[in-house]
Amino acid sequence: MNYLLDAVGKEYVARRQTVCALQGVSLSVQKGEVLAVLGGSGAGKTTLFRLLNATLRPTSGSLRLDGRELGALSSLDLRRTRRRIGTIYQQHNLVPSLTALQNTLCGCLGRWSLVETVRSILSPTKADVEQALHALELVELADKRSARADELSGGQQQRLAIARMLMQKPEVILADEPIASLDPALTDGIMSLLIRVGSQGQRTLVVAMHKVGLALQHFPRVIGLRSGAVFFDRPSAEVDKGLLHDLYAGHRQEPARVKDDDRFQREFGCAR
Amino acid sequence: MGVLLSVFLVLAVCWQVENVRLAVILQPATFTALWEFLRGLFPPDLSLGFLRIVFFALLSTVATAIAGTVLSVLIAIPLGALATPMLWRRGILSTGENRNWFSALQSLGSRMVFAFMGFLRAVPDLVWGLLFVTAVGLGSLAGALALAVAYAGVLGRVYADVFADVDPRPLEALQATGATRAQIFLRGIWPQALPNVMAYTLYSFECCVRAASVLGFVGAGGIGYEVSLSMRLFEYRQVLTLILAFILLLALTDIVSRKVRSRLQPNSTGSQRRPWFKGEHFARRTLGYAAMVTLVGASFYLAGFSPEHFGEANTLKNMLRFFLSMVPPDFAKAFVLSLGPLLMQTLAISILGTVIGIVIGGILAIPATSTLVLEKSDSPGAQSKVRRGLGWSTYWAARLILNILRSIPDLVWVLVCIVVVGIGPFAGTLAIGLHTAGVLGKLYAETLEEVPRQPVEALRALGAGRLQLLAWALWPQAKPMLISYTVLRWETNLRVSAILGLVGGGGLGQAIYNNVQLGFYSRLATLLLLVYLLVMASDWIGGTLSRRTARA
Repeated sequence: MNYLLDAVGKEYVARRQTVCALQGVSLSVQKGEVLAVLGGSGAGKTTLFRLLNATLRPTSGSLRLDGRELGALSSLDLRRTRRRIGTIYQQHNLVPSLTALQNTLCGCLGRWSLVETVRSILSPTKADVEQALHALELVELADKRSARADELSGGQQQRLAIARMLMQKPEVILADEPIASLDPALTDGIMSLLIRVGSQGQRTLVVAMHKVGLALQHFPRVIGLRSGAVFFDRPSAEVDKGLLHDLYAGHRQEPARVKDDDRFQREFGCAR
Repeated sequence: MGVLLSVFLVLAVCWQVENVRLAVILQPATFTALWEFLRGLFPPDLSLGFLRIVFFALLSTVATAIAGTVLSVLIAIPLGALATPMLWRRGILSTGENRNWFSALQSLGSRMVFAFMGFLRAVPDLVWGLLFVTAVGLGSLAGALALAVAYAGVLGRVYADVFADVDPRPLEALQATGATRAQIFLRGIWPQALPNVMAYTLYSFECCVRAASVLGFVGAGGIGYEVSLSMRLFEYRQVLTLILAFILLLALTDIVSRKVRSRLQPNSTGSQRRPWFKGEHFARRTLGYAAMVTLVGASFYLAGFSPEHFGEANTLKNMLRFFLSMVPPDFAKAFVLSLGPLLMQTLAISILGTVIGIVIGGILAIPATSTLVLEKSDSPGAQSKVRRGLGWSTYWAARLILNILRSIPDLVWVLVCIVVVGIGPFAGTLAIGLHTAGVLGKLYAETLEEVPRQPVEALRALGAGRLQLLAWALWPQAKPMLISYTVLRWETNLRVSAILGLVGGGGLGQAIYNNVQLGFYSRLATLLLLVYLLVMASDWIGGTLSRRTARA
C-alpha cells in the first residue's frame, strides 16, 4: 500500500484550547518500504500512527492511501482498508480478560463475518487455531496460549501484540515502540522478526522508536519528527549526530507529560 | 441559619398539605388499635394447611423473580449495547469514522434508547405490575413481565455504564484490524465487562426477589398476594407467618447470592484437587448447565409462561390492546389541574416520611454503633460484667429493631399503618418513616463504625466520653457520607410515595389505582408521564444536592 501525505495537520481541543499535534506533514511511503520514525515524546508519533492506520482523520491536508483520499472512503471501504494495516500499539492494547490464543485470533476479525466471529468464540476452527499457534510460536509464546493477557509480563504482552498483528496478515505494519518493554536479549530477535516479516511479501514497515542506534542499524530510511512537524526525512546514512542532537534537544517540552489515561481523554474528548 | 429556616418552612407546608393530625397518634383509640393488631399477630399460624400455601407462594415468588431477571437481562443487553456512547456517538472509536446522515441517525437512535431506558426505570415496578395485571390478568405472569420491563431499564442503564467503562485501548486495536462494531463489542467490550455484568445481574436478582414479593399487592401473584389477602381477611396470625417466611426468603437469597459471588471472584479458583475421573470437569460443567436450564425453564413455567397462556388465550393481543388504549394521554385542563394537589401530597409524604426516618433512625443508630457502646475486652480498668452486658444488650436490641424496620417492605408497613391510623396520606408517611428509619439507621451505624480509627483512638486516649467521641470524632468524619445517604434515600422515598396510594397510602398512587379500576387508561398515561417527570426531577435534585454537599 502506498501512502501520500500532503500538508497533513491534526488538531484537537484540550480544555477549550486548540492543541496542534501534527502540522504540515508531507510524506510519501512506497509499498514495501521500510522506515523508522524518531522523535521525542510529544513529537506526534502516536498521532501520526493513528492517521496512518485510518482510525483518526486529519483536520487539514490530504492523506491518500493507494491514491484514494482517506476522508472519501465509505465506512465499508474504511474497514477494508484497516484490515490491510496491522498496528502494534505502544501499550499493546490487548483485551485483558481473553487468553493469548483468543487475543491472537482477534487479528482475524477484519476478515470474519459476524457469524464466523460468534463461532470462533464458541469453538474456533482447527485451521484458525493452527494459524494462531504458529503466530504464537514465532514470538515464542506458544506455551502461554491459555494464559490471560493480563497475566503476562510486559514483554510477553508486547510479543502477543505482535502475534495478533501476524495473524492479521497485513500489507502494512505500523509498530509504535515495539521494543520498549522488551529486555535486550529479546530486542534483536523481535526486531529481526519484524524486518523478516516485513520483507516477506513486500510489506511496508513503519516503526517508531527511541533507540537511535537500532533505528540507524536496521532501517534504510529515517524520519525525524519534532513538535508535530517533519524535521528531517533522509536515508539513515545521512543522519548525523548534530541532526539527532537538534531533534531531541529542541523538542517541545510536552505539557507536563500527563498520564496515558489523561492523554486519551484529551486527544479524543472521550471520558473513560 | 438560612438552611434551618427553609427546612422549617418546607416542613410546615408539608404538615399543612398532608393535614397531619398528630393528635391521632396520641389518641387512646390508636393505641388500642395498635395493641389489638400486635396481639392479633401472635401466635403465627403454623397449621399444615397454611404452611402449604406459604410454601407455594414462596415458590411462585422465586419463580417470578428468576423469570423476570432472565427476561430483563435478555432485553437489557441489547439496550445497553445500543446506549453505549463509545460505540455510537463519541470517543476513541468514532475519531476516524465518517460523519454523515447515517452516523447522525445512529447517534440519535442511541440517545433515544438511553431515554427509553430512563422511562422504563422511572415507572416504579409496582405500577408496571398494575399495568400488566390489567393487561394479562391476575397472577405471577404479570409479575414476571413487570419485573422484566422495570429491571430491563435499570440493568440496561447499568450495562451501558459498564460497557462505557472498559479500557478503550484494546477496542482501538480491534477497530484498527478492521473489526465491525458488533465484533468490537463481542471481542473487546463483552470480555472486559463480563465480571461487572455478572455482579450487577446478581444484585438485580436480589432486588427482583424483593420486588416479586411485593408485586402481589397489586395482584401479581407470589407472597405479597397472600399478605394482602390475609390482611383483608383480618387474619393477622397468617400475616406474621408470611412476613417471617418473607424474611427467611431474603436471608436465603442473601446466602445463595453470596455463594455465587464468591464463586465468581476471579482469584478464588477453589482447591486444586485431583478430578475423580477423567472428564470430571466436562461432566460437572454439563451437569451445571443442565441444572441451570432446568431451573430457568421450571421458573418460566411456574411463573405462568405456559403455552396455553400465549397460544390460545390471546395474552399478547390483550397486552397490545391495553397499551394502545393508553395513547393519546389525557391532557384535558380540568384533569391536569386536579393532579396538582396530589403531586404536592406525594412530595409532602416523601419529605415528612424521610424526616421521621432520619429522626428515628438517627436515634437508633447511636446505640447500634459498636464503637460507642461496646467495650473492648482488652480495655484497661475495672471491667464490670453488668456494664458490659448492658452494652451488648443495647447494641443488639438496637440492631434488631433496625433490622425489623428495614426488612419489612415499605408497602407492608403501609398496610400495618392503615390498620392503626386509617387509610390516607398519613399512613403512607408513617410507613415511609418507619422503613426509612430501619434503612438509614443501619447505614448511619455502619458509616459511623467505618470512619478512620486513629482520631477516635486519640480522643479516647485523652479522656473523651462517648457522646464527645460521637460529636468530635465520628460525626465530623462521617458527615458527608451520612448526608449523601440521606439524600439518596429521599430520592427513593419520592418514588415510593408515588406508589403508596396503590395500597391506600395517599398521593399519586391513589389516582393511578382509581383510574385503572375505572378503566380510564388515557388518564393513566398522563399519570405515568407525571411519575416519570417526578422521578427525573428527583434525580436532578438529588444529583445537585449531593454534589453541593460533596463540595461543602
